[in-house]
Amino acid sequence: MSFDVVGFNFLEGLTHFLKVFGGVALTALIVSFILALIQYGGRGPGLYFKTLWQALVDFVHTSPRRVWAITELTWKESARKKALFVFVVFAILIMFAGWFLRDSVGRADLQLKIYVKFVLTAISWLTLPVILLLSCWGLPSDIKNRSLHTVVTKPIRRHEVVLGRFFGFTLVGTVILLVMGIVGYAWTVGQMPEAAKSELVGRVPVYGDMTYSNRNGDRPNFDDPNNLQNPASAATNVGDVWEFRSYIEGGTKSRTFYDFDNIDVAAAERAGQFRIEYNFEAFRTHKGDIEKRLLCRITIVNKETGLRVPLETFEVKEFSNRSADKTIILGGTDEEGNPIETITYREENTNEVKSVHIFDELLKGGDITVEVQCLDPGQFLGMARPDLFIRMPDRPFYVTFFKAVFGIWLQMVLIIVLGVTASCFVKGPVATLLTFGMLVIGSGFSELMQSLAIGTSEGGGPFESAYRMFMHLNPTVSIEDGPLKTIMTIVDQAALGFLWTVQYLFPQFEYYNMVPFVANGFDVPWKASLLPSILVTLAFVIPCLILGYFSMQLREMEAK
Amino acid sequence: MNQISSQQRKLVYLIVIVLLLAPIVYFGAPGNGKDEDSGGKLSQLRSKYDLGETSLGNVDPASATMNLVLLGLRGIASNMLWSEAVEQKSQKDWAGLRATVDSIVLLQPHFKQVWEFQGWNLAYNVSAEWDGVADRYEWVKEGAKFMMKGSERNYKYPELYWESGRILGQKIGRADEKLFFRRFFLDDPNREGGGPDPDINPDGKDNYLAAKDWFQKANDIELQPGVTQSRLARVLFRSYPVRSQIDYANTFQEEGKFEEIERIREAWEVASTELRENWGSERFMTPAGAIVLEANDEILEAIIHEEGDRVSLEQKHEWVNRRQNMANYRYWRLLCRVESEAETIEAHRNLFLGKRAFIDRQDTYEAERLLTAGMTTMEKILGEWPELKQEDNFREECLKSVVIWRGCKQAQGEEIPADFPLKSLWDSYPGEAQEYSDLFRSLYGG
Repeated sequence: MSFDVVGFNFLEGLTHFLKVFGGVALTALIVSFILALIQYGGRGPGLYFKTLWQALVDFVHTSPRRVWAITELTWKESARKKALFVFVVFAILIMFAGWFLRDSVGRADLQLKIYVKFVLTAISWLTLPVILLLSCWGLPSDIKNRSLHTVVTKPIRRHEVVLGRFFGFTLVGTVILLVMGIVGYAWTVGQMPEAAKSELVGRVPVYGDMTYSNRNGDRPNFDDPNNLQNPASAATNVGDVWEFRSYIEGGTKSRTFYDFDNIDVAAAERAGQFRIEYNFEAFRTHKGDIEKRLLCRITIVNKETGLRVPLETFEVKEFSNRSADKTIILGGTDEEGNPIETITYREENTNEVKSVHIFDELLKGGDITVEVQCLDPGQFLGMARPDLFIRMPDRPFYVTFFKAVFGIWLQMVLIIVLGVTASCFVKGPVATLLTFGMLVIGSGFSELMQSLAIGTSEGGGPFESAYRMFMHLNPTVSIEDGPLKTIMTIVDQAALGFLWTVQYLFPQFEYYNMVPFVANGFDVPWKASLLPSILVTLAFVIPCLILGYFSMQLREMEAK
Repeated sequence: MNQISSQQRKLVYLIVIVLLLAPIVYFGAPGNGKDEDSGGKLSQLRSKYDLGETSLGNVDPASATMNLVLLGLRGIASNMLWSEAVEQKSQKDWAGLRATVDSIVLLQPHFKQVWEFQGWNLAYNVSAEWDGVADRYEWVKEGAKFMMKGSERNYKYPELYWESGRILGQKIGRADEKLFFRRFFLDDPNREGGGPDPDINPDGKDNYLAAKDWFQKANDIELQPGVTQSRLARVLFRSYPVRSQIDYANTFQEEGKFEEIERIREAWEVASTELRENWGSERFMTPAGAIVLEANDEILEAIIHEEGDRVSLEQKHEWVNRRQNMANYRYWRLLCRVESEAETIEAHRNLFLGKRAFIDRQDTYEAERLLTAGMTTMEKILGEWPELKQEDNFREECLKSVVIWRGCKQAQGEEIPADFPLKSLWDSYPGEAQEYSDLFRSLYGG
């Protein structure tokens, strides 16, 4: 499996958050001011500002002791609701999972993926629904049972009740997750066959920028701002339905270039080796020598000094799941345990045998290009950006495993925040539906929603779609111009405009899915996965707390 | 308000539960698995009408549990898994595909098409995606193992046994990589210490003989009452054990293993006997009643008499002829007979060695000598059995030999004589003769 890891731009994200948050807050302030004016007339503005001031005072005077008291209460309540019974289900699953999963592929190296997927999916599917129900039903049942009356009559601020609930449910969830995480980790490691234990690592990849040259050796210059060419245009499309990889032709000047800047050479030197891992795909246009796999060569070019070092040619072991099959190691140690620091190669033009120091000469400065070529004429080698990376020193497996568990925790916190906030202004079933809806839209429909909002999806908005369905028109058939089309477009624009406005109010849950990294033996990357997850959670915690506070403040506590 | 206390109420519940349990136990008690009359009424009915899951095949406890756990959502779950499998295949996630397919069969263990489709998918489609021959073989094995597992789970689907035989026989024996695959079947490169993979070849047999065993199992299953197959016309379906034996006998000649002439003869003789005595003597139903392929008046009259003299002998002959044509029976019979002759084996050997002498060593004199000997014998055989002219492989072998023989003559600077062995065949098929001559020129000049 390959997945493209795209970095997350923090500043852009923050600006975006401030814009959306500011916009929503401003709208809320204006609307509530107008409502205050309408409801209370001349007294309205006074009350309005008093409420705002009170909110500020309340937040500043938050008492950790009182929040903790509510947290404890929440913990007790949850325990009484037998939320911890979820452990029993988990235990049963773990006990019998071996039946379903052991040796299901018959190949030890594929087991990691299956075990990790099972354990982490089981943990999130068991934890999240429990937490969702607990957080959505907590406050409404307190109100219904009138137990909240005894709380609010105490010297406690409303937002402390909300905060206490947040922390209480988070505590319950954390305990559940921690226990499940530790048991799941021990189970995964214990179940792994001895032959595949080496796959239990967290590889740390560094990806480069990829470009191709065509069969004549022409490489598009992407530094030229006028060049609007697609980077893959110089490569060949072999007609694969999955257009993930582009192909270079063997036995020609066609190459793939992976440009790396600022590699941490010191870290590689400390580890004593420099590793490149690849995952290429072979495509044959003729049978060729079927006893041999396609032959490939990698050349490392130092961008600063121009030094070119062609490495030994190798046969491409495509689709292999053993990273050892696809890793080129420079350096390391010899048979007697002495470190190898130089590499011997044949100079390209003169064929002269030369030797070069790996870290001081070849990788000097940390800016390199890795050139890949296929040596078999008439055959093609396919690759995409994530198919070649520099493998920095590995992290232990538990680090990446628990990062993924942390991802589930962040998702859980977000659900608690949404659930508790929703339960501050609606009843249990509605809060559950609302939170569940946000979860479903955020995890499965955000792409669809965005394509609708920016108008890239075919078939128009809701009204046009309904019309097309009714008239049996497929999305690519154009609708004749006329008053009907004009009306539909206007109405659709209003609907899609609304969608555009609210699209960012749904959290993007896909950031939290860190399972593929762990399952494929990668470390969960900070910038592409952990950071955005933490920020998405934080971005919802703050506004939800404010919303929860005002909802509780203004809510009639009498059960209805 | 309730007249009875909570404790009394619970007691009543308990009594009701016990009362309701009694008929369940009475009707549903499981049998001992041996006697039809053991167990409760339901169990007896189940074994009487063959409705129990155990009568379909081995029960996988994981599969049964999975279906139980999913309650009524099995259909949805298997649909999702099917689309996941398609997605994984297009994205080349082979490990994922294999795992998904395993999950699908847990949910649908008795759905024949799952086994047929996915077994084929693994052995043919997935294996072709891999570049290394050993990797490809690994996936062919995966497909075969999958199909065999399917047949274990489903005793009543002869198609699954047949498909297992097809993968072992035709995928391993006829793929582009057949030379490697056939070798790997006896000495697996992915296995520590080599040797055949015990899961697909426990007895270390030739792939065609292993396939023959599976085809034979398919035939045995197909004979059981209440079992039918929908793969092929029955007359063809039942020919496969013999056809595998023929394929096996053919490999000696194809691979140039002429050093054990006695084994070759034996292989063809077994094929010939099985063809006449097994496949040829089986009864097949036609609109004119039962027939056998190896028919003579005496046998057919006996059948007509058995069936109450409802059809004439001519009608029976007519249908025997139709079925023989359908199954190409006379050709196979002739082939087995001709090929089991020591003379034919010798002729094949001479043609093969002559060809190798020309191609590998460019020894035109030796090649010419061997080819002339082979061609002369072939001419004699054709004179004896002229129907063999219609047979593509036989004709191709003869015509190609003539082309090489002519090449040898040319290389030696000699004129092609006006008359030569197999000339009548050469003259009867000028189109093919030209085609092979062009191919020869493109490869070797001249």
